[in-house]
Amino acid sequence: MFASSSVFGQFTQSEMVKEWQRAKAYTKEYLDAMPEDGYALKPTPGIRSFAEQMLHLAWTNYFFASWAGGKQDPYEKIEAENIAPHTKEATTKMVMDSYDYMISTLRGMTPDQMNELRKRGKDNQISNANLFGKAFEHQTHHRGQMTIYLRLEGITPPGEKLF
Amino acid sequence: MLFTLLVFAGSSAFAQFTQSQFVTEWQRAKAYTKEYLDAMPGDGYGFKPTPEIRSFAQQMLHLADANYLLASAGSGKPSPLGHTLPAHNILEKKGSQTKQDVIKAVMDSYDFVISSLQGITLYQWQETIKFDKTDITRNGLFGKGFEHQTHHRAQTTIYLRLKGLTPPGEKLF
Repeated sequence: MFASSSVFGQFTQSEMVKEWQRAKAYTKEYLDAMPEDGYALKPTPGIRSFAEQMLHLAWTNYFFASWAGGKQDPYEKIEAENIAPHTKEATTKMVMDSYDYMISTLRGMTPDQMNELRKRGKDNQISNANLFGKAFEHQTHHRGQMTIYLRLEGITPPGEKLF
Repeated sequence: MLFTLLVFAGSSAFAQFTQSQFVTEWQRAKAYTKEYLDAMPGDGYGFKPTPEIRSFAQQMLHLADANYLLASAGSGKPSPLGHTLPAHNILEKKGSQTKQDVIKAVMDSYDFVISSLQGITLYQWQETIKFDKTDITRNGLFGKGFEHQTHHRAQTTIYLRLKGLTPPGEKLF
C-alpha cells in the first residue's frame, strides 16, 4: 500500500540534488551574462530590477530550505532586496550561497523527514519533499523572467539548460 | 529478492511528488498558464519585447509543443499532432496565432500531459528510457516538462508588464 502510493514518484532525493546542482549552474550563467550596469535594469518602473529578482530568488531559496529542513532562516527578518548589495559580485555570491544552502539541506534530509507533513496556512498540509518541488518551481519562474531582462539589454541569454 | 526490494524502497521512498500529486501540480500549471493567456489582450499576442525573439503567441505555442513532445516521450503515447524530437515545432511554426486558437492549443497540450501522466502504470513510471542522448526515467521526463513550461510562462510575465498589464500573481500552490 505504501509502495504503491509513494515509492514511484517524480525525482528521488539524489535526483533532486542533481536537479538543484544543474539549476545553480544555470542561474550562474544568467548572473554572468548580465553586465554590471544591467543589474539595476527594470523593464518597467514598477517591477524588480535584475539584482532584486536575483535576491528575491536567493531569499526564497533560503525560505523554502529552512521551512522544509526545519532550520532557522538566517534572512527571515530581512527584506529580500536588502540581503546583499546590488552589485554583480555581491548578488552573485548571495545567490550561489542560497543554492548551496538548499543543496546541503536537501542532502541532510532523512526519508522520514522528507515525507513529514508541514502546516501550510490554516487548513493545509504539505510534505517537505513537495516543498522542495515548489522551491524548484519558484527559482525557475524568476530566472525565466530574467531571460527577457537580458534581451532588453541586447544580450543573448544562456541556452535553456533542461538536462 | 527481499533484500533487493528493501534496498529499492530505501532509496526511493521519498520522491519529490508522487504520481497523483504530480497530476495535481500539472492541473495547477494549466490553470496558471490560462491566467496568462487570458490576461494578454488579442492584439498583444503578436507582441515581441525585442524583434529577434518569440512573440507572446509563439512562446505559448512553443510551450504547447514541448508539452506534447515531453509527455509523448515520457509516456510512450504518440502525440496526436505528430510531435517527435526531430520535428516538434508544429504549433509554433504552423499553428494559428489568434488568442482564441492559442488558448485552445495550449489547453489541449496540458490535457494531453495530464491524461498521459494518469495513464502511466507504476512499472512504466520508474522505467529508464533514452531521450535524445540522455538516460532518464519516464517520471523524470515529466519533471523536465514541468520545468520547461514554468520557464516559458515566466518569460511572458515581462511581455505582460511591457504591455502595461499586471501579470497574474504567482500561483505556487
